[in-house]
Amino acid sequence: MIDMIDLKSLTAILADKKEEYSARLLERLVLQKLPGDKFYIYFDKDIDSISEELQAMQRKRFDELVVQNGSDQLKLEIEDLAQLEVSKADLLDCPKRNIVTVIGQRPLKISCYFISNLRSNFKAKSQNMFDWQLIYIDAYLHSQDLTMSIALTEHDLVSLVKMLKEVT
Amino acid sequence: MGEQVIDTAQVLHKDLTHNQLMNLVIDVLSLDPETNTLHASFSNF
Repeated sequence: MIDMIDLKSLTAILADKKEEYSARLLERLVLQKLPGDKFYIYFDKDIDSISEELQAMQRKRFDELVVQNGSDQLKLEIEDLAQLEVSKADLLDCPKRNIVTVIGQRPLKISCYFISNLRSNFKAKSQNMFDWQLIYIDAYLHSQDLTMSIALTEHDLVSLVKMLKEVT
Repeated sequence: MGEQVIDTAQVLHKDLTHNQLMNLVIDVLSLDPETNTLHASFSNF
């Protein structure tokens, strides 16, 4: 559990409550007397650790940062897919990956197309990091026979990474 | 901050396969049941 917590955050939290956590660590220490003058020291795992509390603190910090940002939604570079002028035939030529997953309690078949040969006039802000210009995503909702689409560019992916770095 | 982001993305470029990118994208997708539209957000993390 501890390794999931950002070390800088952990250090800051521990620094704020150094005495309290030191005392709690000491409370978990068990001293067992062995034959002779030897002692065996170990942590009692049955006593609550501080990891859950630290995770709750980190979650609170995450929520605060999300509120500060005003929205947790990524502003996509392509808001209107129609401007891409991508046809089903275009998608057939692209590397494709499928998966069935649950999003918002709905089972969806997700198809990701990695498009590298956009024919439209749309010019994404290329980051020159990937061999594709955008990921075109089709999500098929079988229960309503409905297909929803969204597209993420390299720029969107970098924005996403930036958001993640800001809140972790 | 900007440089760190680019560095991270370059690492992604070197290491991530299409399958891994797809999983990353799916993790940030959310569905608006009112409008039946997809959105990308990071609150699922």
